[in-house]
Amino acid sequence: MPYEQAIRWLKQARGEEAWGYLPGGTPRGEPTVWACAAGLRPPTEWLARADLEWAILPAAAALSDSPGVEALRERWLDTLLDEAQPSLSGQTLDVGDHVDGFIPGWAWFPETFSWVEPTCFALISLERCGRSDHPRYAEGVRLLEDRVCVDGGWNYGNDEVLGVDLPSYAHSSGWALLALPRGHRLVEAGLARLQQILERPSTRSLAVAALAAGRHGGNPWPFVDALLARQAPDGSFGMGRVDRTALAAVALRMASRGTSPLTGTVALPDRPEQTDG
Amino acid sequence: MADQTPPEGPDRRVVLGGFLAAATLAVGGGMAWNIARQPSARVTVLRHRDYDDGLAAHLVEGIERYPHIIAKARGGRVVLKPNFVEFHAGRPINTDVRFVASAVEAFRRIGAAEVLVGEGPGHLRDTEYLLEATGLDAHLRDVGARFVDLNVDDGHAVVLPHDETGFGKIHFAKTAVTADLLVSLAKMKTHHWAGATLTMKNMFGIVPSAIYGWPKNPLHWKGINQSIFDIWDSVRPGFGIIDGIVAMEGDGPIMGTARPFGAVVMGDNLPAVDAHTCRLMGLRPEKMPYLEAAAKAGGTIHPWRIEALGDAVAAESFHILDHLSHLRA
Repeated sequence: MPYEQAIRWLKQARGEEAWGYLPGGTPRGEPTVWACAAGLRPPTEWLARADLEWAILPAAAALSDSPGVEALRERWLDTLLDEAQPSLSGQTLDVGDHVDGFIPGWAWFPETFSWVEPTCFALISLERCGRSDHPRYAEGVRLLEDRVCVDGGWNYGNDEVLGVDLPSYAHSSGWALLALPRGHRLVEAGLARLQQILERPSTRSLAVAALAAGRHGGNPWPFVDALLARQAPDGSFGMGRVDRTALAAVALRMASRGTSPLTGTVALPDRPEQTDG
Repeated sequence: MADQTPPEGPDRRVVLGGFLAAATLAVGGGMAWNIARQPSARVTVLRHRDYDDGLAAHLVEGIERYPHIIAKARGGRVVLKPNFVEFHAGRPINTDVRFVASAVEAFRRIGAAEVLVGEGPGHLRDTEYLLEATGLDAHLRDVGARFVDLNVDDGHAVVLPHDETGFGKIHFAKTAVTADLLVSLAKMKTHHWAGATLTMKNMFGIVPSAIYGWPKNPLHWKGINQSIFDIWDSVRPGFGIIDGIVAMEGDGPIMGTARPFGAVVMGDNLPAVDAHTCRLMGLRPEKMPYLEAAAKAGGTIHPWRIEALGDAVAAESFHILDHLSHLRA
């Protein structure tokens, strides 16, 4: 049972207080929130006092189905909607004609520019926690519309620099798709673009692609199968990294149970018959 | 996260002048004084046209010109910091993986007890993808070297002696700043904002993105030249080696084109290594604010103060974008 194996590995990788990027390492926001999204019990005391840095953006989504953390979730959501400085509300900036630098999204670091991935994290949290009617949600979606690359996916940043079109990246594209509302006009082309992941896969890109495909009614199974092929005998993924193993476990959780905190309940297509050899 | 006491250095105002009033300082006696106060530096250029099996031995030959670097490396922990940014098939964006493997081998031959390769890619968050797509993962496996993702490393706070960025201190990757010898293993590339990205700019990768985000956005927000200077000034990496075998020109550091140059540049004074390499690229280092600031803070960029060792390699004229034409020699 690949999901259960990953969960067992994650339990062993936990430090005294929470999860670090490496087993037993210094507790950090990102690996801890993904471990919670994978289905592990949240370290509530640590979460309540720790500086999660930018991982506060996906935290509410990652723990959206965790019991006993309602107050924390509300605090995180209020924080990500807080316009007072210093905050993770992205700064606006005139960056030329091609990119609209005045669309407010979210930033990795207080008082800096809005980027695709942190904006995706915030959008997923707002949507999963019933705040998608907030005006900032629509602005965040508009940012993703503005930054889409000519190939239908998303770069980590802009879609062009100094007049040169930039290529999209699988990992950023997966997060953007996971964040876009169901039925959005950019989803179809984006899902097609995700197929590139299978040519040069990685744990994170496969996991996020599977989640994005599952959310939008696409076919997650090629991504799930490629992900399973990367699982180490000890249950871990991605060179023994906690964050990668946890994200993989979130995808496997969705694949095996039809739900995850990052996607909500999804209707998966039937899995093709597995053949030996 | 531990603090580190800033090393002794020139007054902050001296360096600030580099950013604000370069022209007024570059006259008469002031100019001569600025040149004279730059410590003498030795930069080695090796003619090497391919990423072949002989590269490691050639690197050793170059490093051996710096006995104090050999002394630091011998029996110690050496961290090689290559430049890995993105992967585009066919574009020489990154330090060539064969170059990295050869450098690992070279420092082992010199007697390092441990050689690690550490990088915190500035653009791509998916380091596993970058390692596999570039082939770095496979090459490091072949030479038995460990990779450390500096983006998620523990932070180690260092106070900025001149604080041109206004950060006060920066949390650097602990693995990098606690090494016995930190080596910037850069790529010879033009850069569409900074002019050139060489051993000093390469040090952006020791700033952990798990703290500062991608693409280390606060560093750009505070000023790319100020950030390059502050990072070098506060960390002072011991050695720099530039992969100029196949370089990049034009719209670097990502969208430029390959330029076979056939040389390796190295030295223990990173501003000198970068300044000398700029001249080999047909660029004027004294017009680059971060190099000019470094020259006022213990670095060397003036050609009179740089002794060129090794092979005679002629300067060429790298293509740069029009808005950087003031950098052309």
